[in-house]
Amino acid sequence: MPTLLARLVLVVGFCLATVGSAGFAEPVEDGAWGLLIAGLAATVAGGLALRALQRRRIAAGAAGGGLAPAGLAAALTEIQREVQSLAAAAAGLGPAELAARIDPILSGPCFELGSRNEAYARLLGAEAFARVWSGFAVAERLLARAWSMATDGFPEEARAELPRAEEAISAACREAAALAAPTGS
Amino acid sequence: MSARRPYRELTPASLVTGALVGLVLNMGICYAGLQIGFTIVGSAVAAVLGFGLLRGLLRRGSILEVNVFQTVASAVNTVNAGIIFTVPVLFLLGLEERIHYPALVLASVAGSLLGVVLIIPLRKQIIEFERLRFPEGTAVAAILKAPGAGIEKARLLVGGIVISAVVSALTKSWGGGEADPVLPEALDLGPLLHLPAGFSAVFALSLLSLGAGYLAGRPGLVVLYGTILNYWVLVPAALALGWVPTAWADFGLFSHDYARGAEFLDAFSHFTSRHVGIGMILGGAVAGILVALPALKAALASLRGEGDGRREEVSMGVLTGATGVGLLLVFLAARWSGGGAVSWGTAAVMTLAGGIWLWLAGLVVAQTTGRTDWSPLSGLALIAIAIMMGILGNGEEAVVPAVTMGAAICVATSMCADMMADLKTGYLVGSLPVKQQIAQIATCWIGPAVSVLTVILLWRAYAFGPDQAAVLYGRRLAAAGLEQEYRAAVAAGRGEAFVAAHQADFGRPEVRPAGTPELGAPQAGALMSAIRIVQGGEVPLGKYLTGAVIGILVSLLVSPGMGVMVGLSMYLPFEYMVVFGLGGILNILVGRWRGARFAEDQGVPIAAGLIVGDALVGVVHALVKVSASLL
Repeated sequence: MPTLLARLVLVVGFCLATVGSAGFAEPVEDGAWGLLIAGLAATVAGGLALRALQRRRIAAGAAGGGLAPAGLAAALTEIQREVQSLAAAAAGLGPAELAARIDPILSGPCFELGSRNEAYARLLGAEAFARVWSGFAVAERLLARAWSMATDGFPEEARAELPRAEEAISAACREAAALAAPTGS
Repeated sequence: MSARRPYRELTPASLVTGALVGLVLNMGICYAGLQIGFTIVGSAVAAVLGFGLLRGLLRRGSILEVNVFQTVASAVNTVNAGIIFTVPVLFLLGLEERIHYPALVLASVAGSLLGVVLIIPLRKQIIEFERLRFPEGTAVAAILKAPGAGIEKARLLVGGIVISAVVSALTKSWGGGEADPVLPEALDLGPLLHLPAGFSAVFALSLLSLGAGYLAGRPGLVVLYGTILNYWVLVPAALALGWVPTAWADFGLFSHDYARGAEFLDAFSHFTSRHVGIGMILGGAVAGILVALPALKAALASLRGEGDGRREEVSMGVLTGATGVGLLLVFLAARWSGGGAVSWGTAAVMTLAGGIWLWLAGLVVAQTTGRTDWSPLSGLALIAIAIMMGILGNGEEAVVPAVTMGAAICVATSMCADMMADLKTGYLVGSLPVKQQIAQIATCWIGPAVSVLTVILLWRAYAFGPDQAAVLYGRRLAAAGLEQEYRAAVAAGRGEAFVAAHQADFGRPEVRPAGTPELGAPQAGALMSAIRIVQGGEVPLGKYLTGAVIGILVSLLVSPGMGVMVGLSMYLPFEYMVVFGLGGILNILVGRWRGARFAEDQGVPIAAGLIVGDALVGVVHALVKVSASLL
């Protein structure tokens, strides 16, 4: 209910401000300033309320083990395990089998984690998020590269990409683990 | 199947064939753009052609080589939008004699180079961190991956292509404008539901918009909100408050004159919502940068090289050097384009202001293209020209250098969007960004040169613009030495008598000679009107600034992309944006019904097919129109 109310205030404010903005012709229409200021005030009030509610929700989620640094670390570790397992088995796989093994990693855990980027960016802040996500994104692209090479019938080149992907995802795991570890203070 | 030969990625074949295909597409779409008023990006078409050429004919292309081919072809082709929106206006304004052609080509080439090198440092931020969807880039990746994605996905992709191509073909007239299409381009529910005429309820029959909206996903909803805000809140409110120009003062909120209603909505877009929308987009983009500043540090760090020695991105040194070269070329073009009217000092100020605006506009276009596939290119070009005229003054002598710089900036912004969309495709198929970046930097000069040349040739061969027939009539008279006599007759009110007396030899000023294609150049016509507004000192600065404040606030408080998305939806026509929004809703519904994985695995190939099918028919239609005009 509070979220709905905050959204309503935000939407109404946004609409009022936009209508006010339309009155800024030459000369400025009567009432345009009033609508704009009232609208901006309501937009700020609604927006701040939404952010406060969102922070509270994230804190509750973190306490429940949902969207939290530990959850991110776990998701990355799962991808790391899959990539390590694939790299270990890759020597014995033909190009089609290799592509078939890469595909579920990309469309499974990578896709699941990738679709939560905005939530994690909000949770961790831009700088920490970038440190963790950079390794994940590089690993995902290198897996896609290995898939393309395997699909084209170049298994050796595809295999050569896997250690690089493993290294990138391991770097992301280290960053995420550091974030998830208790600071002790 | 042999692993002995090296894996093909950035190859001479991909560069040369990509450039050739891009060149042909560029000229054809440039020509068609002057006829129909919009251009086609062509990445999806280039990808299909790449498969045909490299894998079919040459029998050696890999997925990543076709990606480089498509990167080059779309880079060479895409810039035509930047050229045909700006350069023709110089001809329409009768400034042909004052154009400094080498400076124009130099400025366009410099813009193209700057567009590529200034956006590359943001690749990591936009593609990896924000993970913007770039619907066409995603569609191209679906094409490239089709051979290995399994028969089911290939079937869905082809199904989408066929359905979209059929629907798109049925909505197009192929006979040069006379024949009615089988299906309407849009369905207007207003008269059916007896809605007030100022209350838009037109839905485009555009499967491309639906597919792009589906691929965009949740952001499609924001577009829908913005569209509703614009057409169902702002327009009725402005009508109720009487905040419309005097020409529309008699158009009531509850009028049912639908023909006038359509005209009003179009006019409203030009005198209000586009300005507020552009302001919101700019504000949203600036806020987005502020929010992302810490992450940008990590993005820039990636340009310093990788741990195992393999370079993944073009180095900062190369980017800095290329930026310096680009700015130097812009500086020289600014000086030369104005003749004596632009001093070296003024050229330096123009270069500085143009460089800053170019980067901001490029960022905006990359963001909007990444979220929706559309961009406010025309509005950004207009602001660029207004900035230049602000520096140079509003006199007639300012127009040529201002438009020349506007062309550079417009080319640059279209290049930013293209580079990012191609890098998105590359990310999805696993290309090394550095290879795509090298390919684009190496070939980015071709497109602007070809487009400028095409526009000049078309002007000399057929003329273009709203007064095309009159221009051609004047040329016929000039060739016979009668132009002065005709002007004197018109000035004396005896123009019609003169025309009637010479009709047998020269025809009439309102009739194009048989066999001459109609080239209305509607975009350039719109820019010409806008330049007149700037010259009259009537730039709606208040709407831009208030829109920017709203864009900054919602982007900082709600979501970094919010201002950009809502602003874009206020800028573009209801009929396409609402269908785009429906695509986003469809994605959410499918995800809830069958799960996010299903929505991705099954939905993306179909949506990609819808985009590709429409784009293919668009190019074929353009080529048919071109050949029909020339034959």
